[in-house]
Amino acid sequence: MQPCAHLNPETLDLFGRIGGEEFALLMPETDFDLAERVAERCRNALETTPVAIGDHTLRVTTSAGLASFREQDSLKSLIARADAALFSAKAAGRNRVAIAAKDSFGADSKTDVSGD
Amino acid sequence: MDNVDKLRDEEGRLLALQRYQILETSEEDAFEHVVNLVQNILNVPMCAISLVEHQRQWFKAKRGIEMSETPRDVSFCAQAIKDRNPLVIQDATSDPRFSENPLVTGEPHIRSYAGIPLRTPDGYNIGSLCAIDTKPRLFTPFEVSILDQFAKIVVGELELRQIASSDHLSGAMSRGAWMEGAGRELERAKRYNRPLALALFDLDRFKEVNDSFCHPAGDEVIRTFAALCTSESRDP
Repeated sequence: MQPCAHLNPETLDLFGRIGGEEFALLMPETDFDLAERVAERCRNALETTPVAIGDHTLRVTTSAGLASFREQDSLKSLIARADAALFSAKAAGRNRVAIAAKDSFGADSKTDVSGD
Repeated sequence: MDNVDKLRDEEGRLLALQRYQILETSEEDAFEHVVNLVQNILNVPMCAISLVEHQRQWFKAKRGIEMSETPRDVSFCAQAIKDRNPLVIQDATSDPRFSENPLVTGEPHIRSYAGIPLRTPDGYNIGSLCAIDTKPRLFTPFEVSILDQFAKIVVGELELRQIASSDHLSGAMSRGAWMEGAGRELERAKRYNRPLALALFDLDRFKEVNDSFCHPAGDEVIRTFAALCTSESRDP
């Protein structure tokens, strides 16, 4: 476990495999900037970690979509925004973290590629 | 680490409790059956599976108790978890630790108590299984041993519940368990107006990995990514 600047140290992230090759990381008590850094670290970790398969070495990358909770959100709407951001990360060339469009306001981010 | 350290390691204890993802969950049959049996076999008006969090005890299952939680500082079970051994109290009104306790002087008028710490396989007391009476009573060694065996069943159920909620390949939460946990966190963020963020990851060109190598290669990639994410995040 990685100690981390966190608003409430007792809160843990929920990491789940929600599809064949799809994962979800829910970060309670986490503001947008920190969440973006965590997602970026996960993306970078995979890119820089070769996976050994027998005699071969695989290089694999991941795309990610990030959304932050808004007052009127249901779980479904939160997932839908993150999923839309994930789609835009794929469309922009993969191996990147993209932000749900309306979440980027106020977030100091250079990786907003969702642009709708 | 030896047992004494685990008893003093409050931070580790709270993490052990959090790993079960059980606080604020709804009734589950396995735990309901245990409190039913304890109530009937020991013939007590009250019993509970109490989980002791930072500042409160929360009841996963209970009989004869109205409230769903109490502050930790009045909790008998919070005392019980300070030791490896059962906490048995014959008459709380003559026990200096409890005689002024509001649960003794007022509702629900606890007089006698037997509590067994719920000890996780890695050695943390996360709560207790307790039997409570409103009159003085000496719980016999036989009754305490029955309660002790039920406490072991409770921990076993917690472990099984944990296994069922994780994906065997990646060790991440299963989809169902994640959705349930995420729903709870979302409600909490809403209620207390707290920040909450979600990142969805999809491995790039994963089909090509499986097509050009084979499924074991894909499995290895899944495992690798899950391990990396777990160490980068604050997942237990």
